[in-house]
Amino acid sequence: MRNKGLILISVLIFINLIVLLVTIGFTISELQLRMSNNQLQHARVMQAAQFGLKTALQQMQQNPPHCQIDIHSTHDLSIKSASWWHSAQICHGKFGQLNYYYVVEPLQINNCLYFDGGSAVKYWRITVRAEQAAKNRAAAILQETIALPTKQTQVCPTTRYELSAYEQSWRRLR
Amino acid sequence: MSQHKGFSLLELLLSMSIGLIVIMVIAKTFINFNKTYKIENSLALMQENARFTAYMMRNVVASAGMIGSARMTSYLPINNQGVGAFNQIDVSNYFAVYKGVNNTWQPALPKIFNIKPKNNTDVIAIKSMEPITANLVQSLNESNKVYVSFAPQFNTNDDIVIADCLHVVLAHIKSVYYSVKNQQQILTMTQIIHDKFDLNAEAGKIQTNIFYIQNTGRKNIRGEKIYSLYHVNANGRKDELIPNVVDLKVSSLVKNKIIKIKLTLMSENDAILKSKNFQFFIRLFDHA
Repeated sequence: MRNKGLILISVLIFINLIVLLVTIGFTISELQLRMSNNQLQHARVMQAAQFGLKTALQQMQQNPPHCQIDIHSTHDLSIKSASWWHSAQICHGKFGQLNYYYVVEPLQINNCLYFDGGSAVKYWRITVRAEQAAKNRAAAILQETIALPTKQTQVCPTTRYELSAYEQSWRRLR
Repeated sequence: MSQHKGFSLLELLLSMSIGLIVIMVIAKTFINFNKTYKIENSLALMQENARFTAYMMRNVVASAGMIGSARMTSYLPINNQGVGAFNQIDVSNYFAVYKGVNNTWQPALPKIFNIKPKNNTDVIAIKSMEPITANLVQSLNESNKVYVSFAPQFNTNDDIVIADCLHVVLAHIKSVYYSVKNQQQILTMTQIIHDKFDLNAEAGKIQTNIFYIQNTGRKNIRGEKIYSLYHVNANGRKDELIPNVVDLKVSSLVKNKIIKIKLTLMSENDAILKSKNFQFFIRLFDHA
């Protein structure tokens, strides 16, 4: 009978529509899941970079590490390639599944400040890059300037002040 | 008698009553589901907006007072050599809250902000140096010419910070010459800079960010005015960030080190859940 063919076609169209709706639903869910994952990864990478900064500061308080470099502009450091950060001269560590890398730049001595038993302070700049271990997708770069006690190199021509903390400034480069 | 004699009146009444009850139950369930969906949907939208606002504000507020390598303190020398009132930065104004009380602001809103916030809502102004900076490629002493690395690029009329660990100068750019050959920029400032800076001191744009609530001039489907959270950037450009934000209150905890921000967001299309408060905390770098 002719009617049977019509029912078959109607059922096929109906199944196609259902499949289409389910596919759209899956795509939306997958996109939302990926967005949430990215957000989570980003937060973890930031945590790793913060941990890297703390580790570098502790290291600096004992001995300046081997990964000292000449002064770079923040722009230059922010565009350095992943392979530069992975090179042997760069200090590195792990925070869970994430890797962090850091470099240290020696800055100026301020003879008008004193801190923690020293007669002057020396500024150092720490730059940390944290990234996912498996893929170099999410990466964060943080920079902090710290002041460490040192000996006076010149007499301060003005009033001397006592510093209250190691951390001087903090910024996020990426 | 024929088998197809139809239904009796009793059968018809009974079946119609049962059918009506079933339809009523289904309709009620549908209405409830629809109502719940609308509430959940507007709540999700408001939460998303609040999350985005928190993300935006955290990024800006965390950098408040950053002016290079040295911590901004009352004894760090900051010399202003040509920067106008909008971008002037010092230890007293790097993070400012203008409290909206009794249709006025305390302290009074500077006219230079050129904004019209909603009455009785707070306004936040945050000043800092942009995080990506250039380095001086020639030392500077008693000159209005500043030689800096090629990136990031500066423009005429930019307000910039030139800083090292010992002192800071705020200056205004009169003109810029980009030397591609030498990979450097030559900035001509409006005034001679008297401070001495060695090679590798840094130069970066000053950013003043303002967050406030303003009437958008639009109305929602209920005929009410739509207020939005606005952002003014360093160039004075105003952007509407988040719609349907009706209140912004800022308070400081732990001696200005933790900032509590309370936002009231309005539902766009649902009268059941009209508004909701969200609050979040931001740690402010201690520059005192």
